[in-house]
Amino acid sequence: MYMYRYDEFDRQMVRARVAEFRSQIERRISGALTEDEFKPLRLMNGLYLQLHAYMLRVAIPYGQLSSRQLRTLADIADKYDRGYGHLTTRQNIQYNWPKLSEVADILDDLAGVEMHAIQTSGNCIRNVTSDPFAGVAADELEDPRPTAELMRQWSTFHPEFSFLPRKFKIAITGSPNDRAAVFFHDIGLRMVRGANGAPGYEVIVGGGQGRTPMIGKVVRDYLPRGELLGYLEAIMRVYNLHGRRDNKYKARIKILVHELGLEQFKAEVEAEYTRKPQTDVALSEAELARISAYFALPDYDALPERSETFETARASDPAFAQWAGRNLFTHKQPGYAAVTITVKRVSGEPGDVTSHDMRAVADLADTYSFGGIRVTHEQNLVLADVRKDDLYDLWKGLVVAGLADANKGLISDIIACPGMDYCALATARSIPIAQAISTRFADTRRQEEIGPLAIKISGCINACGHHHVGHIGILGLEKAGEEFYQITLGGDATQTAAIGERAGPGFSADGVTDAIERIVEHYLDVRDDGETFLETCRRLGPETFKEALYADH
Amino acid sequence: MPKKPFVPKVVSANELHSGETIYLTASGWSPDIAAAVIGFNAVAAEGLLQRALTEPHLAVGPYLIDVALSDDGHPEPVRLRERMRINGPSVGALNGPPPVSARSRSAAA
Amino acid sequence: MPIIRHGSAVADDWTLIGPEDADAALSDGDVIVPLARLDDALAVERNGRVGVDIGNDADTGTLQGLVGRVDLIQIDFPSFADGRGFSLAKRLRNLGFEGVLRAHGPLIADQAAFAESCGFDEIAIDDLHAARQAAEHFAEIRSVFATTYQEGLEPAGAKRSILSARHAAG
Repeated sequence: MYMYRYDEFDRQMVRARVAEFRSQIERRISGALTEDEFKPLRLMNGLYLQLHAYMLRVAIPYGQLSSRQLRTLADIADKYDRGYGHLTTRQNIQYNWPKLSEVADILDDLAGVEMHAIQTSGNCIRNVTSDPFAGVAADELEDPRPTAELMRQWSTFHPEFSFLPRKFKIAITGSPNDRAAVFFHDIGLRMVRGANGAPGYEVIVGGGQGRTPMIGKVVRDYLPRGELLGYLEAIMRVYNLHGRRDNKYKARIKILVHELGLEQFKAEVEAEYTRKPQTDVALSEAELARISAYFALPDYDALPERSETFETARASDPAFAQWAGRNLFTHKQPGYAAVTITVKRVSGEPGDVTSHDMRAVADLADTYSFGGIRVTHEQNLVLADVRKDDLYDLWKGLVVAGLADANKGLISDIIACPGMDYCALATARSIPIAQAISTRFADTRRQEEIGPLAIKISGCINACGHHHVGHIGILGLEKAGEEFYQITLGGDATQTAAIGERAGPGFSADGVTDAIERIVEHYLDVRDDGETFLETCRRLGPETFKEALYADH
Repeated sequence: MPKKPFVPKVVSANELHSGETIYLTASGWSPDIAAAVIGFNAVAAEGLLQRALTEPHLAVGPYLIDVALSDDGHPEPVRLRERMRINGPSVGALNGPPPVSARSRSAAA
Repeated sequence: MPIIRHGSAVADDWTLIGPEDADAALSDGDVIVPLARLDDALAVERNGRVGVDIGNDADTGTLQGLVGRVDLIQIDFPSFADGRGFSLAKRLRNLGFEGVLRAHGPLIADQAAFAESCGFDEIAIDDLHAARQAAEHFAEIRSVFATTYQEGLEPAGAKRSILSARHAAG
């Protein structure tokens, strides 16, 4: 399997963590730890308390899974939960119904397949996320996964940075086409080349969504690759020393960057970077080389770019053609493609996968994709290395599994947080809104006509549904005891980063779907030939939709 | 200007082991809100909350919620969020058996 | 006040002078004074060492001036969730401070190893806190993790880092 494999050190760390958490649970039960003390400890093991039950968020580092791991996730769903899991907007998976007394056992099962729930919550460094097509994308400068793995290890149980002012999220892209939303993370990294062609990173700090969405700022145009961990340490120390702790809603690094101003923030980081002991660049490089070996290219067949099998099937089977037109991604190896399996069934729950789904995907991965699966931050799955010759057979397998929706990037490929159906923080439900919209737009021809349109729904102002960067964003609030939804327009999570603009007054749960339809109809009226929704929105401004939205109000 | 009338309260929390929704009763805790003891004024409500806080080995994160009284005097939650905590997720063909609290309600019905 | 050093409870050699004792003459022996009193305390001829309590929100610009002047620096943790003190300790070690670093506050046993790795020599917890968390907890938790992923932790060489172990020459 072409992904990182634990050595004995990694295994020891995860086992030790499970032992530690068992001890913490015992001390909570005995009273040696108060709930106040236990809470950050359980959060650092991914264990939330939600509306109806605990929720366990399992880490999927940079979204990468083996089929064996996916089968274990299915087994855990069946054995300890209600037979399903939820794919998150940070490439993790979460279970909604674990019991406290069983969590350590779940962690043991995970440890058996080199998985864990370490630091998926809490005021510490969270899962490092990346491009779901990392390592295979034709447009990639370099594979970001080795760096992501290096950062995963460096950030795990970091003695100095485990009690930060607030959570800390890092993302990395290896392609100039940013599919990791690096401008909306606390630290975003873009892999670049220095003047002499040496590998390195552009370092972006202070992006984020939540209550105060902000686009990250470039702090370093070029950081040599071996200096990464030392430089990250400098950023983290400045944040840990100077980040606000008086107000939870002003505690992210984006606020520090904003309040200091970019130039002063950069000066603080560079001063710390200079004054602290130099980190061992050679050691970093050696470790990166060691990790990179695990991400060697799979044993690809030497194939022509064009597959006759694929072309014939496409010409003869319209349903397959439609799926192929939507759900494939250009692979750098001739004759191969990356496949997106959307988990966005019409009137289903976005991102929810049953144990049956998981096993079906694991089997297909073994047969068609070197046993590897990725989780995307758009709550879908990817099989990254499929021969074009095999695409038709794969698709038929997906049809049997009920996972062949041809809607990648279309209006029914909605991102939604769990919302008030599950989450203790929510002010409104998000899943029923997603269901209503996907039902209204179920017709595939209509979806194709509309084209790429990313709707993102958050059930509260914390924006876990990433609504700020939706082409259409929907934010669920509460007004006079009723659920109430605000619409934003023109958000963009890629390198042309933009925060959506509020359209105007909000809508009731009943009114939101009609509002979306009015927006879509207006778009179809005013768009230029071949223009996507986002392009139209940029050309005409979000104002163009306001009259359509509010004309009758 | 007349004072706003006090909205009756009950104490809700999550059960430590299962995480399920529970309500403080006269003698302990129950997943059934109908059995919850009601605080009819601020002092009584605060007293209930303080009692709840003495049992961290049973209940996590107790807090007061507004209730309205049904015709037969049983408390029912006012906010949608609290109704959700009784009924479970409103979505979920994928959800298996309903949470215990909903089961005991229908059993009692 | 119980002092935890390397997982064991030890006697406290130091007397903590609070800001409210501003006018009290300094007793003999080792004393920890508030930052505002440091200059006075160092000016006096006394029997005993001088330590300073810099609280939690000390201006990082004052840290350099403490190096080489005091034998102990106490850093306060207003809550165990407030990890600023870990970076204050690291900053002080990076600046060359070689005296005793003491963490003071409601740290939990699970933070003891972190504190040591950031350069603390000991943790001072209050009696109420200590009643719930026996020194055994501190000892037990401290040894759960045999190695660390990170380089450059304190004390240098105490706990082998995984990176160093993986790439040890020969």
